[in-house]
Amino acid sequence: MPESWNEDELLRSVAFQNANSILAARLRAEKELIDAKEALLSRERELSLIYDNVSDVIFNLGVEGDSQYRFLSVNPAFLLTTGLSREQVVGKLVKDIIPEPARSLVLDHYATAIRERRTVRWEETSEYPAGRKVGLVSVTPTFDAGGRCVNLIGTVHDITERKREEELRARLAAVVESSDDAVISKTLEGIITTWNRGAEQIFGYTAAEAIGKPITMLMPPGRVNEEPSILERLERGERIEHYETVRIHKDGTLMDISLSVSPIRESSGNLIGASKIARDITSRKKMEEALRDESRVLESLNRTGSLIASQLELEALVQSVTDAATQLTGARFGAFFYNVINEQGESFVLYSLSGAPREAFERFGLPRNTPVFEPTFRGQGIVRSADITKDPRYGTMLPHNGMPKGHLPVRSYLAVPVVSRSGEVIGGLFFGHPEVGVFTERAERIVGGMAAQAAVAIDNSRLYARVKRAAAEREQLLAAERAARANAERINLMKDEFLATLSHELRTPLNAILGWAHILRARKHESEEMTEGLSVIERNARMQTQLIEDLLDMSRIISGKIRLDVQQVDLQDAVKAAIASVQHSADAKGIRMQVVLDPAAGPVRGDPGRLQQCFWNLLSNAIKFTSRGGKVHVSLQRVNSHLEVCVADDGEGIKPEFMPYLFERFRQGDASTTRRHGGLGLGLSIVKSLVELHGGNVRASSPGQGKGATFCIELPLMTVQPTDDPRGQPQGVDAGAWGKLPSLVGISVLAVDDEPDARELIKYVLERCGAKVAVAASGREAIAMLRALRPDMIVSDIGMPDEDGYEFMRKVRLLPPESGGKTPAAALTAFARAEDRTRALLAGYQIHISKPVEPAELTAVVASLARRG
Amino acid sequence: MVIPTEPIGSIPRPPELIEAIAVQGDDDPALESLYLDAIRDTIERFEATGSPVITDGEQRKYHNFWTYCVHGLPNTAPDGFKIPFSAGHVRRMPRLTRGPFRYKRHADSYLDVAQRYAHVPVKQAVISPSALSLMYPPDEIPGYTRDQFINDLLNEHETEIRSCLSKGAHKVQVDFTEARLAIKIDPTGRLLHSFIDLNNLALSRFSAEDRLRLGVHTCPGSDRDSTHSGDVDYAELLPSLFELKAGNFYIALAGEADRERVLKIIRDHRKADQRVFVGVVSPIDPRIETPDEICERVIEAARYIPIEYLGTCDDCGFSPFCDDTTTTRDTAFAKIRARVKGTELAARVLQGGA
Repeated sequence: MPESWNEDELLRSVAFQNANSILAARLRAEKELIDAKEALLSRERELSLIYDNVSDVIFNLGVEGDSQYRFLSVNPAFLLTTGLSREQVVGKLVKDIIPEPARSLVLDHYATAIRERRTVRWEETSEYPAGRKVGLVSVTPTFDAGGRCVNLIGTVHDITERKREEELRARLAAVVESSDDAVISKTLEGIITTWNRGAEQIFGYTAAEAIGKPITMLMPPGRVNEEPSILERLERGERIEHYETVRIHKDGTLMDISLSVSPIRESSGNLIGASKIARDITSRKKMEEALRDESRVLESLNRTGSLIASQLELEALVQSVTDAATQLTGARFGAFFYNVINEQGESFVLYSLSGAPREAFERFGLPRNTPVFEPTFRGQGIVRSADITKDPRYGTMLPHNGMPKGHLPVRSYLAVPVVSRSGEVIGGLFFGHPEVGVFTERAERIVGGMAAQAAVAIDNSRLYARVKRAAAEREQLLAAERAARANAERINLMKDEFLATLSHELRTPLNAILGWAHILRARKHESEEMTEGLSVIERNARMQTQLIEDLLDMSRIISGKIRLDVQQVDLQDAVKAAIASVQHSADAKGIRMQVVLDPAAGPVRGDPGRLQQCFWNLLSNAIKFTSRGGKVHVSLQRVNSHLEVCVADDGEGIKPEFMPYLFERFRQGDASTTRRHGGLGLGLSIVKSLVELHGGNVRASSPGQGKGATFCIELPLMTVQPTDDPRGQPQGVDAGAWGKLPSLVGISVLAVDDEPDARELIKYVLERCGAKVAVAASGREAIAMLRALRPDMIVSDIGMPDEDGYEFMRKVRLLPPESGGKTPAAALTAFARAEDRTRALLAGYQIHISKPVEPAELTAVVASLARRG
Repeated sequence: MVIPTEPIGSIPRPPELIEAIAVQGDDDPALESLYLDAIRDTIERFEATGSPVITDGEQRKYHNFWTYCVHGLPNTAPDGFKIPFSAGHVRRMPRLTRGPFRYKRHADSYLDVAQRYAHVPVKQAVISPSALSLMYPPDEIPGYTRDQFINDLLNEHETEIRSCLSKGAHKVQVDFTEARLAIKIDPTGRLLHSFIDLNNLALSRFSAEDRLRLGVHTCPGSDRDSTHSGDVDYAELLPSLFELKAGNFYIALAGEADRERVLKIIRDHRKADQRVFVGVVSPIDPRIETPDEICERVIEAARYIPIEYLGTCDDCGFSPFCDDTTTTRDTAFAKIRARVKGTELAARVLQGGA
């Protein structure tokens, strides 16, 4: 500064220098102002964009006198929300747009904002075209330079969704807070972030104590590794539900917990934490354990109950009871002392042990009626002592003053009497444990129940023992009876066998006698005496044959083995056939036969041969008991629903006293050795049996001795229409004329019989009819001949030495067809029982013929079989 | 109708205070009770005049209205510029010796005390940044540029005004008495415009609402019944003065020789929203104006200024420098009372006339 300058110049210099700085400052300020204005304009444009596009409602109200507010401008969101047009709003007063009661509320808020010169906010629920909405309304007053409010700038922010979420959150929060379950959330690092009241109650920590702490503080040391495992599962998107584990309470106690863990994810889906719901299931676990324990006890009781109920052996029974009771009570050892009475009525005491060897008690002898044991052996109730060595109830004797030397240590003691239903003390269950207070009231109840079960079971066991003894005695009797019956059956079988053998042996010679008598009689003889002799031979042979047949029939009837070949039968034919078979005898005695047969009598169902046998029998008797020159009347008629065949004679009649026994076996009116009529006394019995097998009955009547007798057979009439069953046609039997035999010319027959007479007879009869006959004496020979000759059929005996007819036929049937394996065969045998016939058919024969056989029957069978081949 | 009327600021200090300062210095803590007594007494007497708005009489601006905020700063020297007054004495400004420039005290500290005793609105006067800008020496201070100084000055000034406004000052009045001095120093007006620019830079930092409570006071100076620029024509000042971005102008008018001419200038250059408080009493005139006389001055002013933008005030403070004893406190309050009554009278007259 020049020194020559005066004060004014200096002042001017300073002022002007300042002016330069002021100018620079002004230029800077103006530049800042311009920048600020531009920024403002830009901001205004931004605000305008926001104004036009924001979803919040914005409105500008002009404030007029008398609390009048006029819409100066509204943004598009206002129009969209209210559904009004700009013309309907802008320039209009608020009171004309907003109806009551909202209007009063709104105007109050406006007034407050103006009066207090601040922004006022409130929530408002309004009905809009799009529905009810909750808005957060805000109005801010603006003032002019004079302090007068000129505008209210209002906004409405739609918080409908937020309010809904808040309500939902509040409800959920209330649910979480009121839940008895612990609801805990945590970060991925395992830091607790939320902690509800349930968590406080379950784990004992307050929210302040728990939040921010690691979740592992709730985990026992052995469970800490569960945390990463749970997080891994959550990472995989799994939910963890009802995961049962163990956690620690604040006081250190362990708790059983059921956990459900859900992932917490941020909006991008990233896992950021986990939410846990924990339920204290300690009580449930204890209850379950108690239930399981109870179930175990019940199962054990049930098992024991079933076991002892099913166990009738006393020793095994008491051992089962002792073992089960010892286990259930938790005793270290148990014993069951019980009384038994042997078969001699002597009483003594036995015992079973569990949990201790027998040697542990052997040297102490049986318990005596000391104060400790007496109540039990007297059945006075259960004794339970927490410490029997200090229990004052049991005097000064053992064990109060110490256990016997070498005895197992006993402090806890439980004894239960076992009393039968009759009140008898069967015994006592005793349990011991070296520790004090082992036996609970529950154990007492259980053992009491088991003692009752055991008592019943022992009662049953005793009863069973008695029953078993009685059963053994009965079994002995039954065995004797079975042996007797078996013997009788064996004897009966022997009898049948004997009869069969007898029949076979008797028939075999008769076959030859009858056959040759028949043949010889058919020839012309000069000598009348010869002719008469042959007739007598033939007649007596037939009678013997009939006697044998009757014996076999009776045997079949008695053994229930008789078989009926049931078919439709015309009784006229059967009666006529029977008459024809006795006609010769009647003629011989000069007995006149009167026959009256109803031609419309109708058929019955039955075995024609057996029925004919019955009629023949009655006729035969009638002729037998009718004097020479007498008469026999035969009738067939229908009576109601049955047919009746009656044979009446004027012969010897029947004594009245014999009438009840008329149809019994072996009964004869005159059984003396001097009787005039032969027979075995089986005929009427066989008739009665056969008629009854046909569903009919037979009756007899006689006016008295010498006044003749009448026998009537009733048979039920067949209810169905008769058919054309050819078997129903009467089979003509010609017993005498060789000329009526069928021609067997061109038929080759192989006859097999070990008896030369029998072979010759067959050969003779068949050759007489034109057949070509080869004979074999054994099965082996016959097989060879069969292969060589290839006959049209085989007739074979059954009873042959070495190889019987059955075996022979089985071998034949094993041959190929070209070797004669399919050659038709007839069994010709004296084994005439039904089972013999069946056996023959099973062996491969097509037909079974009983010896003795009539030539006519033999030739008819051969003719028939030859046709089949 | 009410015509607002406000004081400019200072009231003569009680003699005992002036004497004590003379003896003990102005910053002796022992003077605290004397200061408080002076403030309380000033406010009581102020309120007794019926003035609707009062000041603390600037009792704590114990040096002067200009340098109160920098008085005692360690980075100042007392050898600043001299301001000569027509009575022949000079006042010397402090000189800034180094940066940074900061106020030692802000005027709101005075407001705090005054409001403790006041029952009516209190206005607060502050010194303009243009006045303080003259503290920077002609040569640049090393390491602290003039630009930095101007920026710091504006910041301090803004801080002071905002503090006063926030504490509830009825008005904050910026004392711009150097306006006419600027014309005197630089008749080209360049310096004046520079001062106005500087003050506007400060005023621009406030909102329009704030500026309704900001005013600018200009006068030719008043010290020991004399001025520093009484010879400068308002015609050179007022057109520029109304460029200031303030809502209120306190213009000394009672001491003007041709008030009507000044009023015409005001009429021609006042902006529509600017309120003009015209000075109706002259502190440097020992005579106490009568209410009628003041009423006439108001009515006269109302012919050039719309009544709703018209107010009255004193031409200047009654004792801008604390050691000025040329006017007594009684006289000052008597003149104030006359202003209040005369203004009320004028309001009634003007209302009736309307």
